[in-house]
Amino acid sequence: MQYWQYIVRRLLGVLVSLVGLSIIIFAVSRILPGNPARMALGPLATDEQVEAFAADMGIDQPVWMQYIQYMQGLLTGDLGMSLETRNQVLDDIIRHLPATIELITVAISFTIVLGIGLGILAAQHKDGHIDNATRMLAFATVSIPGFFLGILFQLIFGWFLGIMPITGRISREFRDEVTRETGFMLIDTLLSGSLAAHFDAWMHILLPALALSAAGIGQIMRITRSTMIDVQRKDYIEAERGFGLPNWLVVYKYTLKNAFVPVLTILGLLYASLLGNAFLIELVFNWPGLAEYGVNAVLSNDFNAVVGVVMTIGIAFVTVNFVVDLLLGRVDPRIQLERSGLT
Amino acid sequence: MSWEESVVDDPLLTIKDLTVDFESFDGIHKVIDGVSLSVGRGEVVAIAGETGCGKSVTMKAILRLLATADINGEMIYDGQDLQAMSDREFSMLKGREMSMIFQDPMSSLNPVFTIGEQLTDTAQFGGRGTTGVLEYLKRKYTGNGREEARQRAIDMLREVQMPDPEDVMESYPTQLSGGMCQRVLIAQALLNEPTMLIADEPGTALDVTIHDQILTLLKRLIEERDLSLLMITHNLGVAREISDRVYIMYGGRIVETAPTEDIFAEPKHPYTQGLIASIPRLTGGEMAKGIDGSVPEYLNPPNGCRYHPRCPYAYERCRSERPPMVEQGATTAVECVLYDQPSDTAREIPTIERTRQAMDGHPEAPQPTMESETDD
Ligand SMILES: Nc1ncnc2c1ncn2[C@@H]1O[C@H](COP(=O)(O)OP(=O)(O)OP(=O)(O)O)[C@@H](O)[C@H]1O
Ligand code: SF4
Ligand SMILES: [Mg+2]
Repeated sequence: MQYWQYIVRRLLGVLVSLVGLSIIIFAVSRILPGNPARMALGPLATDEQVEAFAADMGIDQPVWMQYIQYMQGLLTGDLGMSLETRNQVLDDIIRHLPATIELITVAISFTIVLGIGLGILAAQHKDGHIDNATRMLAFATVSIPGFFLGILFQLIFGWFLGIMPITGRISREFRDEVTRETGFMLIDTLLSGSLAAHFDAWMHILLPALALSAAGIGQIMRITRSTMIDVQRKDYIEAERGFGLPNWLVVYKYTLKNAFVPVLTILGLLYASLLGNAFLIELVFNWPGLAEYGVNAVLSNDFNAVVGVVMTIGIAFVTVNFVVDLLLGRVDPRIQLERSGLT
Repeated sequence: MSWEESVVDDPLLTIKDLTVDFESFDGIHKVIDGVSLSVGRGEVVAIAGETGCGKSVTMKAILRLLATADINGEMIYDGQDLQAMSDREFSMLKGREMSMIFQDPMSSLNPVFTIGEQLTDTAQFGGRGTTGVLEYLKRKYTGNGREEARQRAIDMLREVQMPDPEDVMESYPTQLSGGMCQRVLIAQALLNEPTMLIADEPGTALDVTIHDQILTLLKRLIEERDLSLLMITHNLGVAREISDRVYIMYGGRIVETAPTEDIFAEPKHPYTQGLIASIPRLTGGEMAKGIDGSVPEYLNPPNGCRYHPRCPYAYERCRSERPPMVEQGATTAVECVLYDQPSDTAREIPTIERTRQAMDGHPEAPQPTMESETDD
């Protein structure tokens, strides 16, 4: 079996998940209570106005018609109009998404770098001081909820020490300097050529990203440590040492790659909880991301927007799992062989 | 000890009074308890004993692969004191001077790298423990010797009679059979042209025909490359087929050593006799019995001779003191009190016939004479 065959199989899996997801989301959005047209127009609108608006939105059609329209919309990227903002939902999402992606990407990078790094360190110094310290750290980060940690950070670094900004993505003085190009503040500030603004953006994202990644860092650290220790006891590691290979090569090449398998799997799962937690963190740090938009959409029964937000999260989740699967297939040939039923 | 290990004139490897203790929550496991042995240049020496008697631990202790164990004793390789070497110095010896074949072929290859990657790395960096990261990257990616190393690996695979070596280089261990993995491991062990090979039961995990092929291959390689071999096995038949000299190991001690022919012609230690008596004889018709009982535990090993709970000749003295190694000619020695008696108190000297009688429950068979069965 070639790697590309494995990829194609995985891609088919992705398609099936997405179709399933779209059906579920559609069903759920249509059983939200209340008349969306009425809620959009407010209590003062006349019944005629409400009916006209409903016809306009296509929500007076039978459900199966609505589903066909909805699927057509999904395939063409047309998610309809937001009942609340009166913008195209897709445009709204494209506007809010980069902030969230940026936050999550930085958080995941922290998780990977710190989690795996500290995990290796702990494994190399098993039962030593470093190991004990990281064990305490893991315990703390896993047991404290991220949003609470966020508030704690705000109090400590923003309020008492006053050295970090606590809300938003960039300080007011840079707001005019930086034009929106990609929507990613860390990139846009660079494009604007102002290093000060870039640094300012980092200062803004540091606390929310840390708060968001803390739990993951703890988990990844522990998983990395225990799998490293596990793998180090394997016959093949003993054999590699026996052949006189350099110690660092045995640890960082031959042991680490084996240890990556469970770590990657956990990372994929973590991503889902990260998306959920990001909503809370965004609210705490007043981060203008998808959370703000999504929460408003739910509260105002804006179902086109709800469908859009949920679909976006779903696609993100499925995509990440796809990428994790690809990496797993690369890291561990057994997974590729197994999942294709060849061994 | 009354016997100094000096069976070969010009030993390549000499081990004296090796002890290996493992500490656990229950206490100290004295697994290896004073093992002495030597391997001459170009000699093939077997260590034989039942499963769990400490063969693999001995080998791993020599190769410094037991990070958690407490190891004592003297180990001399080619005039150099192994204990005195730093880890760096030692890693330059591993793979290039002394190499090993591990016990389980299926689990001794890294599952997430291709055979080619593992062999090429071994060819390039095995026995070169001081290679740094930069040097590694340079050699691996700028082609600096990588292609030659790869070619060397392929040639070596051919030499161990691997079918389609080029394909095998691209395969992962899970795609190979046990016999093929075993051949890969032999190739890997020989890649850096060691002088001495320590082989831990190569082939025993495989079925009989493959096992035979592997032994034949090993014999050929030893001759062609003039290797010194320390062969670990629980199968006396293998020892007989391949070795010049045998050490019989029981409960973490060497209980007898002799040239291979002698040990089969005239085994002296009751345990050796028991082992030989239990080799199934295809011609004899009757199925041989194994020795009753099992290897001792190491947390509270039996006092005195560790074999006394199973020995048909045992008497008081066996329990009270560790028997000395008694010399029986230039190249033979046996660790049993029966060979160390003053001539007047003659107890019966064990023979294989009498031992077989004891195993078969013959009415006139030798019986242990102990005052009570409880150990102190
Ligand atoms: N790391 C360890 N810690 C504690 N005890 C150990 C350790 N390694 C081995 N032992 C003990 O040492 C004893 C001898 O083990 P060893 O693997 O040397 O046996 P062996 O003679 O190679 O047997 P086999 O023929 O089954 O391979 C066993 O009782 C085992 O439990
Ligand atoms: S006779 Fe005594 S010393 Fe000799 S093997 Fe038997 S128990 Fe051990
Ligand atoms: Mg063993």
